[in-house]
Amino acid sequence: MIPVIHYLFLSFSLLLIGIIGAKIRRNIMIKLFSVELILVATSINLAAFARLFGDAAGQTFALFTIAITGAELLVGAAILAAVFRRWHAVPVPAAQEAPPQPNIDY
Amino acid sequence: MLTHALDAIRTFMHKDGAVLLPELELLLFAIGILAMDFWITQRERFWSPALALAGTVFSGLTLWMLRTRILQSGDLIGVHESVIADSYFVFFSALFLVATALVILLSLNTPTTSAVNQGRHYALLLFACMSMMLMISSVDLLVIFLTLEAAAVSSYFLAATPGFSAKADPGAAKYFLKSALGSAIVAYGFSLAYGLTASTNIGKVATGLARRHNLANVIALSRHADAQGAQLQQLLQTRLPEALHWHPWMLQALPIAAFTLVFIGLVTKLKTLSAHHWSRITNSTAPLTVTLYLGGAVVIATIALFLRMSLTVFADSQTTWWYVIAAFSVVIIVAGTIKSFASSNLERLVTYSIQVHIGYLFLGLVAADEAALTAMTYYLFAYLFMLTGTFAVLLALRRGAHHNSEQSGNVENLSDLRGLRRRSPITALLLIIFVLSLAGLPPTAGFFWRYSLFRALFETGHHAMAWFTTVASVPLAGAYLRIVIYAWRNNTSSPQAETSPVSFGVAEAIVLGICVFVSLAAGLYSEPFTRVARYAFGP
Amino acid sequence: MLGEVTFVILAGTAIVSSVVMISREKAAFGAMYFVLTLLAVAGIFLQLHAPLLFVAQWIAIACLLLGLILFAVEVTKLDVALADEYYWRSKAAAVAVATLLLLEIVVLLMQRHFLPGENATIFLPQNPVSAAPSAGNVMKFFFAYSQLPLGLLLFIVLIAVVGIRATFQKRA
Repeated sequence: MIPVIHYLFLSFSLLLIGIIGAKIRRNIMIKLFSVELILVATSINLAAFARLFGDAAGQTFALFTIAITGAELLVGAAILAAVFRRWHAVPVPAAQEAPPQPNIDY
Repeated sequence: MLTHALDAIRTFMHKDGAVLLPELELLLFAIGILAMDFWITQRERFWSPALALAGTVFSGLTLWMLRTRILQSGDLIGVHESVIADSYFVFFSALFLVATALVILLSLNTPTTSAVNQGRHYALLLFACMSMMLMISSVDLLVIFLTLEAAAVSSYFLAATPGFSAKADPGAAKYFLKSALGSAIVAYGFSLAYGLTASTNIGKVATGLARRHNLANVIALSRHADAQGAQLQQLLQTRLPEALHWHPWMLQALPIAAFTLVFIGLVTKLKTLSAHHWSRITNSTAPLTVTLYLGGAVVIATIALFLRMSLTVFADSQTTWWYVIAAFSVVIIVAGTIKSFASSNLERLVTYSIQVHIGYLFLGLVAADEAALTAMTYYLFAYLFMLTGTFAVLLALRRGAHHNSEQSGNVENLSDLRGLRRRSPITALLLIIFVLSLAGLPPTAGFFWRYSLFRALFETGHHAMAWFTTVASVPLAGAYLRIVIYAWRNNTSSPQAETSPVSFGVAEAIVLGICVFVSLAAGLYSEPFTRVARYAFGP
Repeated sequence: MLGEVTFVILAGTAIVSSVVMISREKAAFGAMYFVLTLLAVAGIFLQLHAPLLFVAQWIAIACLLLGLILFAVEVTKLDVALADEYYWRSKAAAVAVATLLLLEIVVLLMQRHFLPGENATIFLPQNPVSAAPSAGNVMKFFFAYSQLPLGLLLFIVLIAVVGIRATFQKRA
C-alpha cells in the first residue's frame, strides 16, 4: 500500500514544475500547458484523498477538475488564436485556372 | 403528468430555486439577449442594453425579496448545502448588480463600429455578474472553484473584446495566462483543504481545520515541563497516544500550505486584474468600460471570496497568517505608489493606484475585528462608485479626443488634461472629486474609510501598521494631486491641448450623478452607509 | 512490491516528461510531452482505484486535445512568444519556486532521518482505512449531488461559445 504522502509529493512537484514553466517560458502554448499541469496535479491530489477516505466526493471533484482542464485549454486556445491571428489565407486559383473536375456519378 | 412537472418546478422554486433565483433571472435575460441578437437590425440595437438593464433591475428586485425572507426566517441553504443566501450574499450581489448596471449605462454611448454594440457583449456582462453572484453564494469548495472559473472565463472574453481596432486586445493574452495560473493554484489549495478534512463543505472544512489547530496547540503545550503540560500529556496518552510523537508544526504545515496557496492564487488574479493592459509594448485597445468592470466588480468579487474564506475556513489560524498578509500589503502599497508616481499616462495611474487600494484593503484582514471588517465592506462599496466615476470622466474625455483625431484607441497622458477647466468646468470638478476620494482626502468617502482602517488597526494593537498606512498615503495623495493640478491649470497655449468641449450623454450623466452622490455623501454623512456595510455580516 | 514499482515508474514518467515539456522550443513538441504526462497520470488514477478518472483522462485530454490542440496550434500558427517587459520578475519568481522544488526533493530523500516519528506521514493517516469508492458509487454520488456543478460546467461551455463568437467577429 502506497502512503498518501507519496502522492502529495508527486502532485507538489508537478505544481512547482507548472509554476516554473508558466513563469519562465515565453511561448504562449507552453505557458498554457504548464497552467493545465497544475490542474492535473490537483486532480491527482483529489484522487489520492478520495482513496484515503473512501469518499466519492473527491473523485467527483477530480472529474470536474479534468473537465475544467479540457474546457480551459479550449477557451485559452480560442482567445490566444483571436489575439495572435496570423492565419495565412490559401490563395484560391481563379476560375479559369481551375482544373477540370471529373464527372463522377455517385 | 403535467401537474407532476408543475409540482416539481414549484417545489424547486420554493426550496433550492429560491436561493438561485437572482442568478437564474440574469441567465434568462442573457439568453433572451442572445436570441434577440439574431433578428434585430442595426437601428434597434439599443434593445440589447435595455434588456440587460431590465435583467439587472429584476434580479435586484428578487434580491430584495430574498433579503426580506432572510430577515424573517434566517439564512437560506440550498442544493445539497452547497449554496447559501445570507446577508453577505445579498450585500455583494447588490453591489455586482449595481456595477453591471453602471457599466451597461456607460457603454450606451460607444461609437457605432465598436464591438460593444453587439448583444453578445451584454450577454457576457450578465454571465460575469451571474457567476460572481454564485461565487459569493457558494459554500462548497467544488462550486466555488467552478463559479470562479465561470467568472474568469467570462472576464477573459470580456477582456478580449475588440474595442476600437479589429482584433482582440493583446493584453488579453497576458491577462488570460496569469489569471488561469491563479485559478489553478487556488484549485490546488482547495484540494489540500479537502484532503485535510474529508469534506468539501466550507463549514465542515472549518471545523476540521480548527480541530487540527487545537490538536497542534495541545501537543505544543504538552511538551512544556509544567503541571499543565503533564496533564495534557496524560490526556494525549489516553486519547491519542501516537500524537505524542508528532511535531506540532508538522500538523500545521498542510493547513498553512493550503492558506498560502489560496492566497497566492487569488493575489495573482488580483494583480493581473488591476494591471493587465499596461505595458509599453502593448497599448490597450479594449473598451474602457471593460477595464472598469474588471478593475471594479471582478476585483471586488475576488476580495469578497477571499474574505469569506478567511472568515470561515482559515479563521482559527488568523494569528499565524496575518504576517503573510501584512508583508504582502506593505510590498504592494510601496510598489504601487512608486509606479503611480512614475507613470504619466492617466489610465495607467488609475490602474496602478488600484493595486495600492487592494493593499490597503488587505490590511483590514490584519486587524480582524468587527470594525475593520465593516471598514473593508464599506470601502468595497465606496470603491466601486469612485472607480466608476473616474472611468466615466475618462470615457467622456476619450470620446472627445477620438472625435478630433483619427487615431483609434489613443490613450491620454496627463498633459492632455491641460485646460480642462476652460473646456468644461463640470468635468474638472467631477474629476477632482473622484480623485480626492481615491486619494483619501476629506470630505469624501475615501477619507472616512482610511480613518476607520487606521482606528481599527490601532485598536487591535498593530501600531506600526497603522502609522505605515498614514505615512504611505501621503505620496499616493501626491500622485493623485498631479491629476488635480493638471486639470485645474488654465493654460491652453500648448498646441497639444484639446479645445473641444466635453459632452456627456444622458446615461453618463446619470452614472456620474450617482457616483458623485455616493462619493460625497458617504464621506459627509456616513452613518447609513456604515449600516449598509455592517449588514454584510448579519442583518 | 509491484504496486510500488508501478507507482515509481508512473510518477517518474510524469515528472520527467513535464520537465521536458517546459523545456521544448516548439509548442507541438511541448504538446506531445504534455500528453505523455497526462497518460502517466491516467495510470496513477488507475492505480488509485479510480477507473472513471482513468477513462475521463484518456477521453477528454489524450484523444480530444491531442487532435484539437495540435491542429489548432499548427493551423493558427500559435507558436509565438509573449512579449514581457518585466521578464526579470518572472525569472526571479521561477528561481524562487525552483529552490522550493529542490527543498522538497531534499525533504523527500531525507524524510526518515530528521523528522520525528517513522517518516513524514504524520500529515495524514498512514494508510487508507476504507475501500476506495467503486465506479458505481461515484456515479450514484455524481447524479445525486452534482447537479449544480454539472449545470455550472454547461454554463461555462455556454459562456465559451458566446465568447468565441464575440471575439472572432469581424468589425461591424
